[in-house]
Amino acid sequence: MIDNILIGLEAALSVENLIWCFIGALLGTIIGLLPGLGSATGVAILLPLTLTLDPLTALIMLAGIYHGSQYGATITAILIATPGEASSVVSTLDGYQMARNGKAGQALAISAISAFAASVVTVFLLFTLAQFFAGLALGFGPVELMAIMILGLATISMFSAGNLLLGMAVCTAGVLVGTVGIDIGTGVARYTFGSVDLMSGVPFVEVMIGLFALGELLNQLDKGQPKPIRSRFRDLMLSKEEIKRSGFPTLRGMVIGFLVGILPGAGSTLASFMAYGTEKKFSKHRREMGKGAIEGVASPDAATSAAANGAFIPTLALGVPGGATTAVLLGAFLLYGITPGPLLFEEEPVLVWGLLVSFLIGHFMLLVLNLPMAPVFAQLLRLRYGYLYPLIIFTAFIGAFAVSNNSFSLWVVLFFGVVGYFMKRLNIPIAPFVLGLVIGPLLEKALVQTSALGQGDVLGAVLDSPVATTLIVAAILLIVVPPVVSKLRGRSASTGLGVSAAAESMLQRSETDAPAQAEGGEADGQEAGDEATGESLHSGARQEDPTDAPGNRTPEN
Amino acid sequence: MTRTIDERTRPAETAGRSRRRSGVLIAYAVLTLLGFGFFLGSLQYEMYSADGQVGPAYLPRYASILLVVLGLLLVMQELRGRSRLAGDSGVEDEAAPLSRRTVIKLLVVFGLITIALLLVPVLGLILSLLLLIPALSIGVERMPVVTSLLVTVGAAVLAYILFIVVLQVPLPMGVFEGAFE
Repeated sequence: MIDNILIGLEAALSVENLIWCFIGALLGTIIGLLPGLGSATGVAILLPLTLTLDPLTALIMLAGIYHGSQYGATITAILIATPGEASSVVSTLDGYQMARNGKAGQALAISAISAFAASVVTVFLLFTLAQFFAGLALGFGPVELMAIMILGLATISMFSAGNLLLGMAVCTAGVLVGTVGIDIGTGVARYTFGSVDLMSGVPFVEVMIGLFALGELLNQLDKGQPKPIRSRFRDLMLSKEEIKRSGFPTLRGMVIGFLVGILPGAGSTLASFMAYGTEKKFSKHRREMGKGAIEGVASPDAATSAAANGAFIPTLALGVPGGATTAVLLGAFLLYGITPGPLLFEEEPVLVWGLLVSFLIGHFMLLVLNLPMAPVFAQLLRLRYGYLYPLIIFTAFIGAFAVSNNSFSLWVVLFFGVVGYFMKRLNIPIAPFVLGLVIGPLLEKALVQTSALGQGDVLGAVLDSPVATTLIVAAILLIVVPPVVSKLRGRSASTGLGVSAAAESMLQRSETDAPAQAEGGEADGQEAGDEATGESLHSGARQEDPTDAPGNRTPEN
Repeated sequence: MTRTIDERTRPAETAGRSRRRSGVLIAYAVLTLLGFGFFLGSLQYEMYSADGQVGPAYLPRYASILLVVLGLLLVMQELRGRSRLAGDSGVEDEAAPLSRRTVIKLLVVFGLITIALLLVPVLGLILSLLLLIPALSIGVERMPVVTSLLVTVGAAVLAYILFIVVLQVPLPMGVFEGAFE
């Protein structure tokens, strides 16, 4: 492993790669900070710009954006109670309360430090485990790879927003859209309606840009301009007590985040919620959670950072994305002509290890950028949205065109922008669709190969492989067991039948006020993502300061 | 919008929520129809190729059947108990109803983007999108004219440097094709 790290260091420490790593980290922080953008959006929009770069350099920059956006997203979560990413939703709970209590600087500081500490430790775990899993998967054939992908799709469906049916449906829709174009096995043009543009399939980068960038932009149009709480440089100093209180939460968050991040499809969001829920149960200061406890910032941010690294294990070693952004990154790999998977470590060691080592370098850069500069970045929040979103639209469409040099891409962005808008408006998860779209063609390729191996008998080929059988049984159990268990317990749990917890609770208990709902309860990590979190998110932003307009925002225009 | 459970406001809010949840039913119906559409499309392809291996219809056929079933189950779920919708954030939340002003704004923005894209073959990509910037910032957002124009000029300069000089992406120039060579 030491040799590999040295190879990676040599590749990552070139001047060009260091510059692009910095650019990626800086852009990522800004992208995570700005409303309406997230890591998946940033990577999707900027991916076309990297096509002229060397693949390693391009991936280093995109990974910098990915990691940087996690830092940036927490800045908005703390200063304006608006998470820049789904994974920073939990940071609003205590982070924004800390800011309102005059501790914005401390919240920003602990966020950066805990994220950095978790990421540095987990990068070393990533070095070890990625190679271990890749070595394990070297023995995998198409049957096993197909089974892994099915497990990945089942995981994302299972974890997507607690509604299994909806997660599966959206994921299946993504897989179906991925079947458009020339069939890999037979060369037959499917669902192209005679269009030459659709022969190569629905272009996924443009779909990402539409769903994440344009869709979110349109969704933000009716929201006002937020006013960030001020923080100063001197506020970034932490006391000994604050550092002491943050130690174990950071460690817990890191472990939870890394383990969750490894699961294909689970993602940083689930990791952050689970970490927060764990603090609510085990922290010595759990009574302060939700009111500005530093543990409520340290733990989820450590989890998010660790999960972001953990997600690269299935992505690089198995070719199955860990979440939406790694799905886009996986797409980037494919665009550069590189196939992630077990052979990647053997065929492209410089690329893989250069990329992994760049994570370490990137996180150092991000700590240096964010710790003193967070208040400066926060000034970007004062940019009028009326200037910002036309610029984002401008960049997004040009970037989309640059991918395929085809006007058809522009219409794909617009169409999926509208789709993304409605999905966000209706709170339908997008990540399962993206994963289905990216993994679907890979799954079909493995399916065709499995069929060839089994001479037409796919089931037989699967049953002949104990690994594949185990993985597919695990996928089935993942889908079937939670709703059955919930049914036997006599209620629809959040990961079960997907019936609204709100509808359920209204039948079961008497009315309480929203803030009381937010503060009470024995929420675990999953339930922290339920109503209580949603309620307190809004009560924190809207109800506690009567002098502010709703959401602490200036009116539109 | 925070879901209030104040009994005094419940009738109005229930009515509002019922109106909004029709959007959810429509979304589930769209998913079902999407599955049905893909299923119908798969009928024109072969399930198995001549040598007995999976053909072009295999994955789409099974996936579309699954989607139709899931879509119908979701419709039933919504009709019976209001399905959980928590997006990618995991936070269950319902958006506030859109004001008429916002709906008009959305339609105008969509319309302007569409017009810009339709103008691409005529004016070229950069010019069409550059015209979109002041159209949105001045026309829709009512931002100050001078600042909006400065932002547009800045975007033009940056786009030229980045896409044409640095990345050398061959962008369509419409009627101006060849004018800048």
